[in-house]
This record gives sequence, structure tokens and C-alpha cells, in this order.
Amino acid sequence: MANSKLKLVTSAALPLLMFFHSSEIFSKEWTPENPTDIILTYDKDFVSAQDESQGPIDAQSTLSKVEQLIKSAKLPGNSQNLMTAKQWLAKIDSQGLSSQQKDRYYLAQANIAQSQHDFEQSLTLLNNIGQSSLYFPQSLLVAARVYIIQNQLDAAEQQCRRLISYNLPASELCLIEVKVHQGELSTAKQSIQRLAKRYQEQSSPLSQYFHQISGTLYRIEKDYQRAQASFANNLAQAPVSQWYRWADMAFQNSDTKKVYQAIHELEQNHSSIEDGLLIRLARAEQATNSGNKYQSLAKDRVQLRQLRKDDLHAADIAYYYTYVSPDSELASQWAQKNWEHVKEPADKELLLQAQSLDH
Amino acid sequence: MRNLIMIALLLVATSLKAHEFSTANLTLEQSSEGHHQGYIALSVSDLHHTLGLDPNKDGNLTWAELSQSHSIITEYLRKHLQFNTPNSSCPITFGSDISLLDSYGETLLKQPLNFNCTLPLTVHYTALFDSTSDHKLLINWSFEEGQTQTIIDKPAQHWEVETSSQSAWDTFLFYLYQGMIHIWIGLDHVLFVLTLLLHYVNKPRQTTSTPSRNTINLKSMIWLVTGFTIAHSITLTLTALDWISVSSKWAEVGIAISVAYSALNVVTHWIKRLMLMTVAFGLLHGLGFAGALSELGLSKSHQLTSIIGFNLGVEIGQIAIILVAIPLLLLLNKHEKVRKVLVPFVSIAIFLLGILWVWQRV
Repeated sequence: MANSKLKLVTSAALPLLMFFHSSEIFSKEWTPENPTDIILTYDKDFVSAQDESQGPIDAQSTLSKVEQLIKSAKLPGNSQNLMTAKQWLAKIDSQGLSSQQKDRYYLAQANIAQSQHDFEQSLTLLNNIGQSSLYFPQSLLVAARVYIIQNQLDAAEQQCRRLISYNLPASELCLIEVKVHQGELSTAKQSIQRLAKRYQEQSSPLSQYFHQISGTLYRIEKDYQRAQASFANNLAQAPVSQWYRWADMAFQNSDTKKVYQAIHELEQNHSSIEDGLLIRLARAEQATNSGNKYQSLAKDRVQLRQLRKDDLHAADIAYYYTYVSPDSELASQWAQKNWEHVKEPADKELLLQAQSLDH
Repeated sequence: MRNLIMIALLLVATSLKAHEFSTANLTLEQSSEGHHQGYIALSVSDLHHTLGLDPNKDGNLTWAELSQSHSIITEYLRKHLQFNTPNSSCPITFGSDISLLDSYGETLLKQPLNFNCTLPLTVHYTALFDSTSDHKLLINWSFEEGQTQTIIDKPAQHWEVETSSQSAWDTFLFYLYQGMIHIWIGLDHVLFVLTLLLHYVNKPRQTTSTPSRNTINLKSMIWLVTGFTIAHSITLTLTALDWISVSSKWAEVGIAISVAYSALNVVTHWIKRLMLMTVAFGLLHGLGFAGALSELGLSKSHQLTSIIGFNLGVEIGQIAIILVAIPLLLLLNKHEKVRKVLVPFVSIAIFLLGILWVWQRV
């Protein structure tokens, strides 16, 4: 009773809670007793943008570094690399770049904008990359992804079709992905089955893309076993978004122990993991009765995210209130906010699940 | 070549959905007219990432290394945090007594600061936006006249600070609503009020001076409920003003006991002086209401208004419960057979629930 009381009161008065309880945001204040106490550990091989000399930087190598950072940022526990990429990009004087370098520069900026859910900015930046550019196909693929996220499927299809003359296999997969989102499941399934043999080899980027699409297809069809198997493809090298999908399918299949073990291992090997992973770890911890550590941490993170009013990144908050600490009002509210910005099948599923808590 | 680039970068395009969020907090208090003091708390990781605080770059940042880099941090903050009046800027003094804060699983550096500035003023904050992901500064500011808070999430966003706080009327309405909500969702309070009312349909053997069985002495009932209100208002007000302090755990246990005992009394009639029991238990319920009020927090500028609003809200909520219950009780009074079965049954059920709460709360 006390819990439900608190939930109702806090949901009605969150802004006022922040207003009155500002000093309680922090749980502990301390000063290390020993000057040699370590207060932060970081990857020493990692070169911060501040570590370099203040002199002119080499644009070519900096752009390569930025691309590498963006690529690695998609892996679990590495999303902070995105901000380093941002720092490096800020050091580049775009006026002095060659035409090809400018395209790389725009592409990197577009990727960062996409990650921050600034979709319009991302598309604007991609428009700067001309058809004759080496990076044009890549810009089409990023644009297609942005349109898919926004559920603008005709526009996404157009981008995929334009890809045909540059990279047929990528274009083919891109079009299948659009078909999956358009609900043309039987056509998409036929294509998936036809291409399955070609993408048996697990680690190539195209193979990974293929398995992500097939996982999404099976998910929509509620064939959760196959969906889980698809998302499990090359999981060790998979982007965080694939981890989310794999864990969600594993939850559907009551494979909670597997989720706990896998994400727990990630957590042990990284100084921090993304909130979405932490919240799924908390859900697995709860389901497997493995203690309360991650549930408590997830609660803190979600509370902070609410204080921050993270409307643009609402999925994690909605997920927490749907699965970890069910609260129909908050779950629906945040799932709706998420749906206003991101419209992929997983987001629709989250919205429906959050709304079903009312019943 | 084009294909090579395509394949190499394919994965980047698939999804960049994960983020880490950067949050800083600025907490300030106006200690006297024109003087403001408090602190800014920023993630140690974000600061290191932005400023490169570790001189030996060995993967470990120690407290000594952070302390040595203190001037770099204050210099950075001086550039990126400014308070200005329409006519001039207000120089900030950064304290040297830095400490660390554990906040939401992250370690923050707490940097004390103070400055002299008359209101209205503008806050300009541009730190960490270029180097971190989705950076936001959460500001909480207490003034003599009230409190205000905001979020700065863009470097170009300037915040105009004025002292206009929530009006007394807004505060009153907010707490009035919360008082009503609290009694409606607090099953223990509702059941206690219900058991008080049940006493009126399950009275001991009638005497000639008391009204007949199928009427309810409304006047007496209103007096009883008023007694409950006065009693809980006393402890609620005293606790909310920090004049008395009782462990919330034991207050909750006491409330559970009151529910169980009052339900039992409906059947046993051990206590005939209902007003006495009601007032005594009302004092306990006031402690429980105070607990709920402390969860909400009192408005700094309209403290008494908050308490009065909350109290009145509880009262209105209570009257609403009674208005719903009276027709049912009247109906019950007309059906002797149903009453004889239902009243003891409901009373015993409430008693058992009260005992369960006692067990859970202890």
C-alpha cells in the first residue's frame, strides 16, 4: 500500500518533488582520506581530444579516428566514445577540408545527430553529401535508417532504391528491412529465406545486418524463438540495439538466466553500461531472484532521467515502468513520449505493453 | 573503393541507439540579500574527458591528481558559468574545499561557489555541451521568497532568474488536492473512518434515551469525525513544523493497530466513549499524514499554507467518504437481518487486515 501511495503521489508531483527535494538528489558526499585514492579509472589506451597538442591537427587522421570512435560507440559500454568523436570533430576546421574530407565530416556529424535523436539535423547534414561522393552510398543507408526510425517508410524505400547502383547486396537488405516495417511480411520472409544461405557466415557486417532484419521480422510474427536466434548472431560484436532486442526476445522465451549472465558479464567488463542494458539486467535480476543491486541502480538512473526530462530518449524510462517496476500511468506516459519520436516495432511493442498495464 | 567504404561503415548506419547522458547540478541558496552560495556538481568522468585531468595518463585518476588540476577546473568553469545582472557580471568565487558526491551511480565533483548579485539576473552556462552527450544542467535555487528550478540543455539557452515563486493560492490548491488523494488511496485511513461509522449501525443494546435503530444520529457522527480531524490536525501540524518527531515506522504500526482495534470495537463495544478512542487514534493518524506530507515536502515560502491545504484536503476527502457511506449505512439499518450478518463480518475482516498490517509493519 505504501508503494502504491508513493507512486501516485510522485507521479502527480514529480516537478514539485524536484523542487523541494533538490538536496536529496545526492545520496553520499565524501572526501577521499588518502590522496592516492583512485576516484576514476579509464581506458589509458584511449586518447582524449584534450591530450593532443594545441597545434594544428591533421584532418585526415582525425577523421579516421572519429570514424573509428563512432563505430566503436555502438558496442556495449562504449557509448562515451561518441562524445569523444564529437570533441575531435569540433577541433576540425571544416573550411580547410577537401571535398572528400568534407563528406566524411558531414557523415560523422550526421551519425552523431542521429544518435542524439536529432533526426532533422542528421538528414540536413546528409544532404550535403553529393551523388559523386565516395560516401554517398553510406549517406543513403544512414538516411534510410533515420526514415525507418521515424516510420517514413516511402522515403526510406526511396533511399534504398537509390543504393542499387552503388551496392546491390546492401540495397537488397535495405529494401527487405523496409518491407518488414511496411508489414509486407510474406514477401520479406521469402527474401530472407532466399538469402539465408548467403549470410550464413556470421561476422561480416552485411551478415549482421541480415540477421537483425530477420530477427525483427520474426519478432513481428511473434516467432520469438527464431527472433532470439537471429538476434543472437555474433552477439559479442553486436551493437547495443541488437543486445536490447536479443534480451527482449530471451525474456519472451523465459530465458531470463541467459540474459542475466550475458549482461552481467558485460557489466563486469566495462566501467559503465548503457541505461537500456542496465534496466534489462535489473529485469533479469528480478526474474532470477539474483539480488537487488541492479534494480536499485536502475531505479536511481531512471529517477535521474525523469528529473532530466529526457523526452527524446524515453524508451528506457518506459521500459523500466513497464517491466521492472510496473506503473501503468508512468509507463504509458513515457512510452507515448518515446513513440512520438521513434517508431520501430520494438517501440510499438513497448507502447502496447505499457498501455496493457492498465487492464 | 566505394564498396569497401560501404561495407566498412555499414554497421555504423544500422543503429546508434545507445547513449550515456551527462548531467550536472547547480544548487544555490540566497543567504542574504544579494549573496548567493552553493555548489556546482559535475561528473568527474566528464571533466576528465573534457579537460584531461590526469597528468600521468595511467588510466587511474587519483584524488591528489584531481586536486592538483583544481585550477584547470575552476578556470574552465569561470569561462562557462556566468551570472549577469542587466548592467554587469557577478564575479564568482570558487571554494577550495572540493569533495565528491555519489549520485545515481556516478561520481561527481562538488565545487563550492558563491557570488554577490542582485536579482533579476541571467545564468549563462556553456560547459560540457561540446564534449559530452546530451548534457543537461539541473538548477535548484532557494531564495528568501521561495524556490525555483530549471534545466539548461543548450549552450545558447540563457536563464532569466526572478524571484517569482509559486503563489500561495497555487500552493494551497496543490496541497489540498494531495490531502484528498492521500486519504482516498490510504486504505488504512479509509477503513478507520468506516469502522467509526459502523459503530452507528451496530450499537450496543438500545436505551430509551437513544434514537431508534433505523435512524442514524448524524449530529453525533459529525462530531466524532470532527474530533478525528482535530486530533490528526494537531499531530500533523506539529510534525510538519518539526516540533515533534515520531518514527514513521511506529506511527504506521500504531495506525494499523487503530484500524484493528476500532473494527474489533464495532463488535465488542469495549470502549463506549467513542470520542476518546477517536481522538487518541486521530493523533496517530496525524503522524501518518505527516509522513505523506514529508514525502511531498513543504513549500518553503508558504509553509503554513501547505499544512492548512493538506489538512483541509484530508478533511474534504474524509467528508466525501462519509457522504458515500451514509446512504449505504441507512440502507443497512433498514435490513436488520443483513445488518446483523454483514456488520460483524466486515468488522472482523477489517480487524484481520489491521492485524496483518501490524505484522507487516513491525
